[in-house]
Amino acid sequence: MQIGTLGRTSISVSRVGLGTMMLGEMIPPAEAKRQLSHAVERGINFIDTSEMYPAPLRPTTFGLTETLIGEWLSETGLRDRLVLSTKVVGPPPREVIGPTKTLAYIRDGKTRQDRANLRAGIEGSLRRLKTDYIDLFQPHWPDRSTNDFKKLGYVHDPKDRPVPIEETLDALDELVREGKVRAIGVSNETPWGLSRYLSASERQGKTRVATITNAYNLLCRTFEVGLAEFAHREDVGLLAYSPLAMGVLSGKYLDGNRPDGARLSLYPHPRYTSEAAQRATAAYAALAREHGVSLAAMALGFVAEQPFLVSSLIGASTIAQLDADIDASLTPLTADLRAGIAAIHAAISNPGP
Amino acid sequence: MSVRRQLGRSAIAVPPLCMGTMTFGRMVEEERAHTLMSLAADRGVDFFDTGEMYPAPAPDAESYGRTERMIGRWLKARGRRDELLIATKVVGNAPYTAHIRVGRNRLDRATLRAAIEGSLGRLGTDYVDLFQLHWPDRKTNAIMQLGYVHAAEDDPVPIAETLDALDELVREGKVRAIGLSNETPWGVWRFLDASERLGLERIASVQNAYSLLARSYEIGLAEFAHREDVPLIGYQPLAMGMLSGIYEDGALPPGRRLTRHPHARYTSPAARRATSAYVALARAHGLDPAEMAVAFAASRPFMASLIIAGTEPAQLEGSIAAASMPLSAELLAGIELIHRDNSNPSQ
Repeated sequence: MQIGTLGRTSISVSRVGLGTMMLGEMIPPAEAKRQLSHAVERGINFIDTSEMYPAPLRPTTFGLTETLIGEWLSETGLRDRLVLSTKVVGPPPREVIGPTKTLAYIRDGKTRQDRANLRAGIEGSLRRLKTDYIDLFQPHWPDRSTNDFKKLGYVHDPKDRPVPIEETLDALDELVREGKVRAIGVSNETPWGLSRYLSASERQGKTRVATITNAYNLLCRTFEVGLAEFAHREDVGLLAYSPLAMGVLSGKYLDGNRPDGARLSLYPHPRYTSEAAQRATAAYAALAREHGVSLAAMALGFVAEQPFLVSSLIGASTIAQLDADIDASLTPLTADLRAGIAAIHAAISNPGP
Repeated sequence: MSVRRQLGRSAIAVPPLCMGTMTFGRMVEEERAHTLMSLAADRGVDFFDTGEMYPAPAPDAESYGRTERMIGRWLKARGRRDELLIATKVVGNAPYTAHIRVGRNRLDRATLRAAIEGSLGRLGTDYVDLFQLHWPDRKTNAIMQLGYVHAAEDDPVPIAETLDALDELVREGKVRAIGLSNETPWGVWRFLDASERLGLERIASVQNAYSLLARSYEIGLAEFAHREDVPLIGYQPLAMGMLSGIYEDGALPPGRRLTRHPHARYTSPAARRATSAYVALARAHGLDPAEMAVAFAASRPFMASLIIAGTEPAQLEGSIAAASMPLSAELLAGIELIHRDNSNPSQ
């Protein structure tokens, strides 16, 4: 499989990475471990997780995905061959989608992106993952109020008093110097946040952000507006999450369908199901049909071939689906298909920010 | 026009509206241009934006500098230069600027110096209040392109070098403040970072397109406006007149901008669909569509000054009235619905 590097580090990752958000909940433990092993057999060397997984988020399952991965790592002895990424949660957002509606159960809600939180985050992750280092460690979302999830435009909150990015970076840098972390990244970030990290690194000689993990798919291409230029000019490439827009780009939810057992049937989420998103999904589905490919394959091929991308993080509920998703991600689109996608994007841009 | 805003961290306080002059010398002849400028100044719109390249559309060798000369004659006749704010721009490298300085328009020291000397001469003034780079030296996605596509580099002038040359013009007193135009977050950041690192003049503003049809500024740049004090000078709030509703159903009224000079920026099918929805919304609320469009853009918290244009005194009066017109919560919610359904059809 094609290999890329994380920013200006020497860490190499496969073009397709395994997203693990559903491991341990929708995908039961034994199946999850089979999936991890299968991913490695298929040439995936990059596994992305977070202390707060699995989704949907609840107090009783906090850390379960990392625990599972940790067990699997010690059972298989694969740790040194893999690039392992995890994330530390930030301040509880105002709106949490899911059964608990809150993240205040994590460290009693004391999850500002400050030194104490980052240290508590990494210590917990290392313990659960049964490893003494993380290859890529990321604040899961910014400490400040910004337009990271579901909001297309930035709306300023003058009352917000965020932890300075310089402080977060200093704490991350410390973890690198202690050997607990090899590289650092940001997630759900905006151009302003990323630029502050880069400036602070340069000025204070601190570890440089290597990657940015943001949502990127046919319904959400906001990365291209302001961040793709950073990816190219600053070597901070994209780790794309939700390349299938939570499964919406499989087409299975078209016309209001909610198939039994499917993710959005079990756990409804508004991010990719607005009216405009449904219209765009239908248009992409028709385009794929016209070209004799599946919508999911087209969607995954589109994400994986972007020049600013380092790795596309796929998640699958079965081994067969995982195989299909890997194959689709490694298949370049035809010029006709690209032109068709461009036309739909011009008509309905970013319906699922 | 009483509430002025500080332009970034500069010493300049601008009124909420700025008079655009791009069509002076093309669609608007000199006498009318002078009438419009006097009317604007009398009504508190004492901030004028021009560019060495104007008039537009269709800038060419014969028309180069004509708009600045027109403004210069008006300034001379009116006097009281210090009561007015004059902004101009230096062109960048592009096929359509090949007639300017024999096509040597990379944003280096020589270009910037030649441009400011030319502008000062034509404007008949010894300083401009705001000197802006009309567009970046590098290839980017600020105009008519939503997403950035990386091109094989054309060896752009380093931003630190451009900034150093701008800083020199400030220190010489030729320029009071500096700004960018048609910029992206990366470019804005690089200028800010270079100022801080090198102790050079800080950019005061970014002049980008902003209208109901083109709000991509909000995605990455609005956060810079608020957190870095680099506010927006928004241009084309009426999307070349589209948002006034005069081109609905494919109409091409004689003498109007898009009739005389067709342009793809705001006329795609998606832009027309969004336009119709905004026009209908305004009318449902008993508002003139153009006034709603101006009121919306002018009310954005990241907006330092909104560029208005017009060929008729009545249009100017309408925009001035609209700029201070409050929009109801219901109307704003209606705008957001249309935006959610059809965001940024134009760039």
